[in-house]
Amino acid sequence: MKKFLALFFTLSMLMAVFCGYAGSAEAAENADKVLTVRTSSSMQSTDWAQTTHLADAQILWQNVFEGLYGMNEARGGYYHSLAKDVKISEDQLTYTITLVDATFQNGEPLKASDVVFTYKRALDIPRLKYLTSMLDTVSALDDKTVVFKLKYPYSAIEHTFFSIMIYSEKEVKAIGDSFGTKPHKAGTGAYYIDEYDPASSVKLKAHEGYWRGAPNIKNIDVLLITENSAAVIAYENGEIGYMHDAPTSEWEELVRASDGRNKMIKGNNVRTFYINYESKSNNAILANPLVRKAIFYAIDKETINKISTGGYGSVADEYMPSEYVKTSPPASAGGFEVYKYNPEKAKSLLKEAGFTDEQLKAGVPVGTILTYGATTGEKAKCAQVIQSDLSKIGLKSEVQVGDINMTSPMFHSYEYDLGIYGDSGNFDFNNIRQMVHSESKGMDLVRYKTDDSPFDWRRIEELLDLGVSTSDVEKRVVYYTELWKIVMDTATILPLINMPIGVVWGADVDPGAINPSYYQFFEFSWK
Amino acid sequence: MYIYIVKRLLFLIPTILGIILIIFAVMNVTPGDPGRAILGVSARQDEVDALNHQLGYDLPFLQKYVNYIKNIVTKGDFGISYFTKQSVFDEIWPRFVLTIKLALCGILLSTLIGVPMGIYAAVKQYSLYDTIPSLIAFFIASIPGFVLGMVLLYVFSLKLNILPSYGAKTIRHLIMPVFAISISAAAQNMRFTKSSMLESVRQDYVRTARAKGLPESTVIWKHALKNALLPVVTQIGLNLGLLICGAVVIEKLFSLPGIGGLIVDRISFKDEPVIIAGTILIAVCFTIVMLIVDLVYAYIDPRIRAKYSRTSTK
Amino acid sequence: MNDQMVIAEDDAVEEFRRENQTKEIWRRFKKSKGSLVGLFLLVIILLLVIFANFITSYDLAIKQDPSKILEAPSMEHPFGCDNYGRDVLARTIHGGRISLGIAVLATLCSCVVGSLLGAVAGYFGGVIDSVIMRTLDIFMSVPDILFTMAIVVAFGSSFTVLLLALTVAFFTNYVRLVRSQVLNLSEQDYIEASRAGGAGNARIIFSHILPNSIGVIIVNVTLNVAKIIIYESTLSFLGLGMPPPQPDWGLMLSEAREFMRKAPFLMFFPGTAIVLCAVAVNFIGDGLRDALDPHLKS
Repeated sequence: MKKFLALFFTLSMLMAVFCGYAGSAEAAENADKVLTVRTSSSMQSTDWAQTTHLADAQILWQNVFEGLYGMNEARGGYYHSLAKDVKISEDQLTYTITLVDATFQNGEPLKASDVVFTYKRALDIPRLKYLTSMLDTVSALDDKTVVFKLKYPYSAIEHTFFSIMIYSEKEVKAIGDSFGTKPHKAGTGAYYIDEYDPASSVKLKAHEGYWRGAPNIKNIDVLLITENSAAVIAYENGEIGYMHDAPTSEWEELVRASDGRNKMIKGNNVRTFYINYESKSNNAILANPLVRKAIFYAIDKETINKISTGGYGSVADEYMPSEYVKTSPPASAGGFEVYKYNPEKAKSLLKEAGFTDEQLKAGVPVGTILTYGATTGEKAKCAQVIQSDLSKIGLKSEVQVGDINMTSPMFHSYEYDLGIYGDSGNFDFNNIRQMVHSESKGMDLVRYKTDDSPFDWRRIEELLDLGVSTSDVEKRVVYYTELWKIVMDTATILPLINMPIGVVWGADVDPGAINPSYYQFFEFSWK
Repeated sequence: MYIYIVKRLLFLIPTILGIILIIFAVMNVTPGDPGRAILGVSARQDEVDALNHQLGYDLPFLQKYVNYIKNIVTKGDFGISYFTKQSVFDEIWPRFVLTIKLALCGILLSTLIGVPMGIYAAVKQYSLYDTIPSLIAFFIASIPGFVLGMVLLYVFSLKLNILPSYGAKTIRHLIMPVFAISISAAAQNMRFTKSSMLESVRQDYVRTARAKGLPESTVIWKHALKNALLPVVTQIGLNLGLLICGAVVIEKLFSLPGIGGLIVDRISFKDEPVIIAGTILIAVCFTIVMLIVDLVYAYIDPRIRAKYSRTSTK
Repeated sequence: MNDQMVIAEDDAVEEFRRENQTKEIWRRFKKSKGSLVGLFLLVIILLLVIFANFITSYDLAIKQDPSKILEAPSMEHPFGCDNYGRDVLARTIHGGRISLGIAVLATLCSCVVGSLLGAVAGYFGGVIDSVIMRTLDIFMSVPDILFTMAIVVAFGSSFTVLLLALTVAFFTNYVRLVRSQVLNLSEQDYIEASRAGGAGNARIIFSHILPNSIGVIIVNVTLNVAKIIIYESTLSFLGLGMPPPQPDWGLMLSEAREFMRKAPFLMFFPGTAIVLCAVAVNFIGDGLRDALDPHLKS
């Protein structure tokens, strides 16, 4: 028996040594392995607060920096990230948050003072006002506890906790004014920026002291490949390990080359169609609700989807996809009008509005469909399909695709007739405020509150406030359903499609769960 | 001679001042602003205004102009990019080097291909050695550069998989872009050389040389060629401008971080510091190349050389 | 009275000379096979474009049919259908109107602006010449594409904006060209004579100098048309060309780019149209150059 045991121990020890050796060899091999990731635009800044590109945020948010909350759309919404424990007071005005034991990439431990520093910095940035305007004070109770005092109850604050990424006060102060223009170790994320060359690539290295454990993949090269077809070829040649938002026009080629290592999901974004009811075009024809409704019924979203996304996207009846945004009222519940494609109804609405067959045959002008982005981009495609749809019911329109600089002032000062606009990255239905509330002037595209407004803007604004007064999701959905019903009945905003997000990865990579907006390299591993 | 060179270089100063003025003026009269471009469509106007103010974009046009020149002259400072906040010089220099590398390789290749073929076609005029290459050159010069680049991409990167499809890390990365930008310049060089050569063959002194009974090869290579090359040299110099413009598209297609692409990208962001500094670099480069062309011209043509030495001794 | 007679006589002589010249040029132009082929091609293309409406209706060029997206060429649609299900044949033919229209117009505009500036600079000389030429030097050292982009980005792409942008990019060639012509011509005796006869500056420029440098200008104009056709397609590639949905070769090419692997025919037809036009115009330009070349007069 003893002998047997001895043999067993020796064997197991040998095994352990052997495995340990093998393991370390594998680890050594993995330590040099590099995951190449494609990006389509050059990174504007290494500071999350100074960049506005989603492509940059995808790298910087959650991989380099982390917020108090994290976001995982695939698993459903927000989760506690740097916040270990959150206590909300009775009146919903005080949030007391204890922090996890995290270490910054520069080796400093995460302290409450870093959080206070970060929020103070964020409060100074006007662009982030929509995230911080409800905050009254942010203070450190002790080394690990932060207290947030709110001006008014605001249940959508989760989005703020997610969006404000915590800096190391020491690192940011050490780098000074040039923070954002060079590599740094100011985040708590699983990777730090080792090399930053906006012209060609960003190199990430694993943060070995990451609080959730050392990441499996040690080196990541984010390569700038501006041309879609070049990126597809690079993937087919095995030069790219992970490509998010891969070009859908060459999706079939990618599927063929990826041998099952691909996924196409619905994006958390929306392309919307707007009608400016205040437009003066053709004797203010768009002020007539019958005409607006006719236009909405004439729009064939299926065809739009087919043409602008190759059919890979999905028809949108909700402003924010309810599967990603839990506070978004689902269209399936039937709480609001979705204007299902119905050209016959559109025609009869136009007749009801007083247009004769002759007029419609000749084409009644309704103005210009304004949009921005590339002339071959999805928004320009939407515009052209809608133009064609409208011509089928006897309405004549033009298409104008302008530079973003030129079009956005036109949109925000309500100087357009019809428009196509894109929105993405909404994780709480309260974000609709920027489209429908009168205080959002400069961000919205339709002015609901005017002296002689035909709409019930008071109720809209009331419902927005009610929506954030409670953190009960079901109650919020009820408020938002009523809100969205009012908005849809105005026939001014029509969600068209959700763009698809195609993801492909390399033979030796396991990307874990695929998220539509943000990916986390921490969850990736070598196969 | 030296005085001439110094004079030409000195003329760079008003040119640069003019360029800066033109760009500020163009940016001033065209709508849009960097604040809006950076913050995106959904930003509020007051935020946009605040950012524009912070960047110094909202200063009066003349004041910006004077400040800019003052900073360059006194501090050698080209400013900070509105868009990335990086020092403009740091951002531009590596890209400029790449574009120049691309353009010079392009000039070299297009000259090496185009000029000899042009001479050969002229010497063998009306034979198959003339008509076939001339026809091919004709077609190639009529194909847009990006179409050619895309075809190269598909053939060499995808089908044959022998060349990388993006980036500028190694020499191999540059093969296709250089080829793509130089091929149409080569075709133009060929046509130009051919017609210049044909013209020069008809000149009296060439006829005289022939009449003297010199062997045909001596006539061609010593007498006709030297003269024919004069306009070709100018053409090659002018090619540089063409190549830099062509490079914008090729840089985009092959994801090369070059200066043309950078300037073009930043135009919609109204990133004045980057646009101006980039343009100045290109202009200086262009002027220097044209100067070199003139000097080469003088070297080849004794008449011009004589003129220069006369003016410089005056 | 007397002075006017001298000038009138001058004009008559010139007219006669010009008529003879035209015949002579045509005789020489005919000699080269290339230029005849080019002319033939261009005439066909122009006929197709001018009579586009008789061949296929414009409606067909913009009518979308979702059931025919990316349909390969067939009897019904000889050039296939694009990503909106629009007939590519109709788009190619009607696209020629815009592409060629803008190329010709932009060439004319840049030619007029450039030639006038060049003529003024060369004729008056002195300060005016220096100002124009130094400004031009500055213009020439800024890459064309920058001006074009700045204009298109700022004002949004439309036919007129594109026309303006292309004019700005191409007028510089003509200034130098015409100026050097004028400098050469100014020293000619008959100019001196008409100046002595009391003819005004404008009259001399318009009735003597410009007509006499027209040969060089024509050659340049034809070659520039080809350049502009190609340049315009490049602008479309960069997203700065004609706005959708009206058909235009450059726009069609850039729209087809995404589908190069799935539906290569989409790029083939507008691409071929561009190349054919450019080749035709280049052939003609070359033929004209040879025909107008004084060295060849033998």
